[in-house]
Formats: sequence, structure tokens, C-alpha cells
Amino acid sequence: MRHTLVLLTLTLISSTIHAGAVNQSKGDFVDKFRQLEEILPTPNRYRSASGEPGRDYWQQQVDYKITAVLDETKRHLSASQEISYTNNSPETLKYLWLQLEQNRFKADSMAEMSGDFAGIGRRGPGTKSNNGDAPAGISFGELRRQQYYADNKPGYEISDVRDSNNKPLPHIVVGAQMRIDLPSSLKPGQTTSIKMDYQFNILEEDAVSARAGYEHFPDDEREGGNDIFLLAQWFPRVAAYSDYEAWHNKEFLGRGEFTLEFGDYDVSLTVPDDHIVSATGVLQNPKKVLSKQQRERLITAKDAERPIYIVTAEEALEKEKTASVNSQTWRFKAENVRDFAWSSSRKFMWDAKGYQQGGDDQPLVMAMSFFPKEGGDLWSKYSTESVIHTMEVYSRYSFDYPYPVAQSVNGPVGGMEYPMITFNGPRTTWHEDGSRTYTQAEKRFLIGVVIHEIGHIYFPMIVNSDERQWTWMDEGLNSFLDGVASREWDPMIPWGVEPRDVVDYMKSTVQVPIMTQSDSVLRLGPNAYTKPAVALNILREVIMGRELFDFAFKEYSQRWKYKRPTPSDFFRTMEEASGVDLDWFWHGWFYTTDHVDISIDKVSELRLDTKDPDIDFARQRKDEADKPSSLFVERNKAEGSVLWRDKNADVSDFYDQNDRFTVTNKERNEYQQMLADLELWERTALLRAVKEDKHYYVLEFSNLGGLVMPILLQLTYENGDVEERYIPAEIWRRAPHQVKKLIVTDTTLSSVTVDAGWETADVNVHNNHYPRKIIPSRINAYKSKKSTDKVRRDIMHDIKTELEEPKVKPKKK
Amino acid sequence: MNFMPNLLPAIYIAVLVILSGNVGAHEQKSSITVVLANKNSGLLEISHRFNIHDAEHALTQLFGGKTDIMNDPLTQTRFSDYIQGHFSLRISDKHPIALSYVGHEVDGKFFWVYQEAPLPPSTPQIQVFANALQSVWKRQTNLVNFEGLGSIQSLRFTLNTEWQTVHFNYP
Repeated sequence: MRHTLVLLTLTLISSTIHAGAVNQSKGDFVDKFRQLEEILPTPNRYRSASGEPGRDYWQQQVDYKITAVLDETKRHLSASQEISYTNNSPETLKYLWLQLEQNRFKADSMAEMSGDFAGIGRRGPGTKSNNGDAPAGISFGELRRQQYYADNKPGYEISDVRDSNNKPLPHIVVGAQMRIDLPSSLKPGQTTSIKMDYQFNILEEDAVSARAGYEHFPDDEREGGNDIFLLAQWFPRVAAYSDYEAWHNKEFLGRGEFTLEFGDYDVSLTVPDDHIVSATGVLQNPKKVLSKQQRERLITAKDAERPIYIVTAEEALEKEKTASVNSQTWRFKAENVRDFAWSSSRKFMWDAKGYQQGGDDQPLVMAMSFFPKEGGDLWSKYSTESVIHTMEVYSRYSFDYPYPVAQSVNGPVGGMEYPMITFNGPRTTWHEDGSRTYTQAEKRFLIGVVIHEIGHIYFPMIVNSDERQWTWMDEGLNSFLDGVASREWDPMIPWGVEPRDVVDYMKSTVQVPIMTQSDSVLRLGPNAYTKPAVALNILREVIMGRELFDFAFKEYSQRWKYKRPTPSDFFRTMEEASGVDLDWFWHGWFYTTDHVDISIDKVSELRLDTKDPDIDFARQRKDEADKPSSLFVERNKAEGSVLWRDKNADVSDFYDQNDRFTVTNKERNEYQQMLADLELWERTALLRAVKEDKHYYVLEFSNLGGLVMPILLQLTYENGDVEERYIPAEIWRRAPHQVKKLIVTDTTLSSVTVDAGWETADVNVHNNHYPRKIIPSRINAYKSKKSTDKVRRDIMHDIKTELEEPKVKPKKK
Repeated sequence: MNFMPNLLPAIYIAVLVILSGNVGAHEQKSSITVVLANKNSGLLEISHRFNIHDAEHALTQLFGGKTDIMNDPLTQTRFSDYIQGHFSLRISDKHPIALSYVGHEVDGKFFWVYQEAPLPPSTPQIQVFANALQSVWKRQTNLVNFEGLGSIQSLRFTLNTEWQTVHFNYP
């Protein structure tokens, strides 16, 4: 951080309360601009002070070779995998930790055992505690979940954990994690190989909320219906091992998501031979699993203007009617990905369109969507196009999309991201006449969610932040960028997060700082998505400007592409690349729960004392005349009382002709002498100021919310002109509670407004005006809008009303 | 656990699960209600803000059939009625505050519902209940901000929350 000069300057003046080691123990001064070096980790050879990967940055490499068999009837997956683990760290490893997310759904998992009945935080169907007269209850959803667990055995069955020579390896399962002890220590630079077999019952996503699983469609024409399978967190995955946390062996509890190492995958998936499979990676055996016609359609799709069906609606519908007893194997390879997910169903339509991205990395990307008839027109029109739009926009702000495919799959998961593949939930609605429609809200949801999830392929699938530790690093950055992309799709679609959207949350008293571990956050939506997205919006539009922000953001993205950034790397890069000291911003927005509430308390007008008696005395005379006269005197006049001096006009003297503001040569001589005594530069400055006759105003502001921000001024003049002025946040540097600002104007000021455009998330606009304005409450505004909105009247109906005699109620005194 | 199906309200029973597992890419599954003691109007003004997607999907779950929150007045009225039915204020359990309906509107990505009541004479406390959508999504969190009676105070309603009390420290 840029701290040397500032620190030297401020040490004598104050200290502050960021860290326990430094304590402002006198007065109420708070150094809002204290540098973050006490909070951020010390830069080192792995992570530099600039926010870049250090000269010795390293990360592990984990490659997988998996063969898996999907038993559709039993909804069961059995697989074998070989993991090749390369230790690029400078440490020697005696064991590996693996994440076993399927075990989170076992009855003895930490997540299940620590579940608070009717508590928050657990994903899935609801429960309800008893309170007062109301009985405790559980929803049908919770019942279904309980019954599902009673009837199905969730979790991994892992067997035959062995080394490359097929020698058994000692291992221990700890909840949703597993430690495998290596036969010999894995030294820096060495690679080891581990094999294992595993199987598990695929969860019913609708019953247990697992971010993956199967969805059953009982109404399909085939007897017994069909399923869509979404497979994620489906193999024992080696946990991340980093320079700053060593093993990331924090157990999956259901909310905090994932991070893994990059590696290459070679995955063979055996499924019923009428299924279509969508997966991370590139299909290696299209001739074996696709028809000639499908392969030709794929070729056509590369240059198509609109998505081309690889599997049409009719073909998918036909397949829904029966089920094959045979199976076939789809083989996918993926390079440099941090995870692998896939989906399989005979219900899938499949469309594709080539995105001619250009560039050297990946000139052509195949954008593809897989969806059942329940997705219908909504998906065929907008899914694949949304995928491409996302890449077009995100690449401008980060880097070219580096993978050969980008996919959107419809299934039981509302929205979830994996490398090259995303799961998205919006659907059409079936009607009794057999038609399917969708609402405008559902259309917006589809476009929005596809943009968001495809956006996640950039953050965090490529810029590999740890979702479980810092959810905001992917959700916040991605929500910011999906707002950019959505506004470019159609600004009428209000996806972008605006500062005004978050003010009620930010002023609430129940919240935690953004820098809170995911599983401990009280309200994840506003905390990890909305507030950080608003923060970045404000940085870009208000504080840094688009040019500086976009450059720094792109720099961050490119520095950490295929690497593992932490918050400090983001904070440091944004500063280092833009040249803007943002420590105050990171601290206020990310490390505290302060909010923005800047009040303009007072405006005072100053007038230059010209010293010229011919000017100053005349002004003083006018000021005196402008004062309201005495009520006593006015009432005397009204009563017709005649003054003594008027009744006796013959008695008068000099002072009846010359008031006390009369200028004499005595004052003029003194003025000239004063001018003569001034230094030349002083005289020049004074005479110029007198000539220009500017207006001087002192504006007084209070920081009521605690969060310092720039003061966006809108000055309205008496002549109707409006001027915008920007006071940087640094004005609060030495006076965090109240500040004054002198402004000089050409004409007379009539009013001042702070943040007229609602750009800073100021929670209280009532104190943003001087003089104060009467601002209607939201309800009053609604009422007045409604009363003037005559078009809401149902005139077609009302016009049929018969005239009636008024009913006269008998009245008596 | 005391499961008493006969006592469970119909809406609670009607919970479906098609969307219960959704990861909220955009569905935030949270609402914000502002209870403003407006001394100028002499009213307690209540503004409920829900996300459009939450609203439409919840209605599909709760009532089934056609739901179009942005364009269908009937859908909007149903959701408005639902929200009003899941929000209550009272001074004490013997002294409810009757809320009257003011209106509802779609504004951008939000659905707003407005209610009001005469401002109660200076009361040391108000009790609140806000459980909209919690029978649909376990994760639904409803935040209620009290403004205009001393400093802002907030209450957070999750599934385990019934009546909560906010105490006022008048300035």
C-alpha cells in the first residue's frame, strides 16, 4: 500500500482503531484513511505488494482420469479414478486431504448434526419451531427430505484406495473429508498417483438441495417417466493446498461453495445410449456417440447466425417415449480446469452456435444449451444467445474466454457454475391446452441467470478465488459484471445492481462485514452479492472513473487468470494499477458495517471586505436597509402617529441629510494609504478580487453514517444554472465527523444538493438538501402518483354505472 | 418435533419443492420492509420490497397455475394479499395494530406493497411478525427496519422467528 509518506504525516496527529495493536485511546478521532498494512497479510515472494503473483508463486497440479457408470434405474453412480498429484509447493507433504461433498448428506455429517432445527443457513426445505401458541411444524418439503434420507443411503462408499502400484493406502474419512497418507513423503516437485473406487446414490435434488442430483419427470410418455441427471461434486476431489492456508480442509457444510486445484481431466461416462451428455471439456469420441447428422449439424452451427439444433424438439420428444437398455460411453477431456461437472438425459434438446471470438487463445467457442421440452421456446430463443453475449462482454473486462465450449443446461438446479458448463433453472409453464408460455419475469430470470452463471466461468472457475472463504470474491465481482452485461443486453431489464438498492440493508443493524467467512454470513444475498457489486459500481462510476477502474479490473483478471487470488491481491492490484489510494474504501465497505449518510448542515455566504469605503459603506447601508423594520415602529405608522422630526421639520441639521454610512475623504485617504502600504502581489490580488466580485460560500457537512465517501455536489444558482462539483472522499481525512468546504461562484447560489443522482448509497436523502426539502415518504409518493394516474381507472366498467339519487340519511338535532 | 398436520395452515402445507433447492444466482430470497413512523402524516407507513423472481416463483409454488407478476393484475393482487397476510404489528398480544392496505406496484426488479396505520401514541415497543415466503424457501430472510422512532432498529426474521419486539429509545 502507499503508506510511507502518509504514515509519517499522520503518526503525530493520530492513530486509529483498525487493529488491536493500534488504539486511538483519546478523543473521538477515527482515521478513516489509515492504511491497510496492519490488516492485510505481509507481502512475500508468493504474493507481491503490488497484488501480483510473486516471483515464486506456485500452485498444485491435480489431474484426474475417471471412468464412471450411471445406473439410471437405480440412480446410482459407480466409478474409478486415478489422481495424479504434483506438489509444486516448497513444502514436503505426508498426506493429501480430499473433499467428499456427497458425505455432507449423511446423517452423521457436521452439516446434519449441527443443523439448528428451523435455523438459518442450511439449504433445503423448511422447518418451523414452536412459539407461543403455535405448534412446531415441518413442511412437506422437510418431510420429503427426511423420508428420502430414510429410504436412501446418501454419501460415498469409497473402496480400494491404493497407490500406483496398487498397494493399499491408509486413509481416514472425517465427515465430508478424507485424509490419505502417502506411502512416502511427497517432496517439492514430485508427483504421486492415487487410485480409488467409489460409488454413491445420486441425490434427488428437489428433495435435498444439493446443487446437483436427479430430477424426475413422471408425466413423460414413457411409463415411469424420465430423469435429468446433473452431476457435480461427484468425485472425491483433492482439496486446495495454498501458500496462505496450506490445506483448505474446511468441511463442506452446504452453503460455502468450493475451490480446487487446476488440472487436466480425462473422463469416460457410461450412460444409457439414448442419453445426451453435456460435460466440462471436449467430446473425444463424437463418431461413436453422435449420429452423422448430429455431427454435421455441429459443423453447421460453427458459423450459424442463430443456434442450430443438434437434437431437435421432435427428436427429444420421441426419445422420451421409450428407454434403451443399452449403454455407451462418452469420453471428455478438459485441460486446465479446476473442476468437472456433467449432465445426462434422454430428454435433452441440444442447440449450438459458434462464437467467433478471434484472438490467439480460443478463436472459436461453441456455445451450447441442453434443455427438455419444459424449457421450450424460452430456452431455444435465449439460452445460447445469452451464453455468447456473456462471453462478448466479460472478455472485454477480463480476458478472452479460454475454453472450447461454454454450456447452459436446464435441470433442477436454479443456477450453478462449473468450468465450461452451467446449470440454470428457469422454465416455461404448461397449460391445459398443451401449450407452454413464459412470463416476462421468467424471461428476465433466464437471461440473467445464464449471464450470471456463464460469468462464473471467469470468476471463480478461472480466476480461482476460494468461494467458501470469501464468497464475495466471485459472487460480488460476478454480480457487478453481470450487471454490466445485462444493461448491455437491454437497459430496460433492470438486472444491474444500483446503489439505491442496497441502502435499506446497509443501514440495518443486523449485518456482518463483507469480509466474513461464507458459512457465518447472516444474509448471504445482500452481503456477498449486492453490497460488493454496489461497491464496485461506485468505485467505477463515482470514485475512480471507468478508464482507471476498467484498466485495473482487467489487470487483476489477467494477473490471476488460472491462479488463486485472495482479497488482498484484489485490493492491492486495484490500487497499484490505478494509482488511486483506496485503502479507505476497502476498509469502510469490506471490513465494517458502516453506511453512507452525508448531511449538508449549513451554508454560509461570505462577502469580500473590499476596504474601499465607497463600496463597503454602500453595501453596509443596503444591508441595514434590508433588515426588517421594528414592529413597534410599523404599528406607530399604522396608527397614524407622526414623528417629532416631521412635525418640526424646521429644526434640522447635517445629520438629517447624511446617514452614518456617508463616506468622507478621510476614509478614502486611509484606503489609498492602505493600498499603497500593501505589497504589490497583495494589492494585485485584492483589486482583482474586488473587480471580479465573486461569491464565497462555506458549506458544512456531517458524516452521520460513518462510511466516508466523496461529496457529490449539485449547485443550483439563482439564474437557474445547475453545476455539478466533486469533493474527493479525502476531505474527511483529518475530520471524519464534520467538514467545511469553501466554494467560490460567479453568481448567487440558491440551493445545494448532495448526491442528487443517488450514486453513493446515501441512506438518508432528507439531509442531502440545503435548504431542506419536503421529501415525501415512499408511500406518500405512491399515493400521489396513484391519484394522478387517471389511466388506472376502469372507465370501460365505470361508464356503465347508472345515475343514482343520493341517499339522504334522516338527521335530527 | 410436534407435527400436527391439522393445525398447519394451508399455505404451509402447500409447500412444493421444485425450486427449494435453487441456488440463488439472482433469487436473493430476502425481503426488506421499512416501518416508518411518519410524524408529519401521523401514520405508521409500511413498505415491503420483494424481488420479482422470488415473488413469481413463490406464487407458483403457493398457488400454482398462471403467475405473471409483472403484467397480470390478479397475480399482483394475490401476492400483495399474501404479503399482507404474513406481516403483523402489535403493541402487545392483546393490542394488535390494524394495518390498512394502501397499494402495490412493480418498480424495476422489485415488487412493493404498501400498508399504513395511525401512528400509535408513544409506545415503548412494537411487536413484529414477518414470515412471508418462509414456507416456500427455508432460506428466506425478511429484514424489518424501524425508522422515525429514535435510531434505526432492525429485526431479522428467519424460519425460527415468530414475534419479535423492538423497543424504542426516543431521542
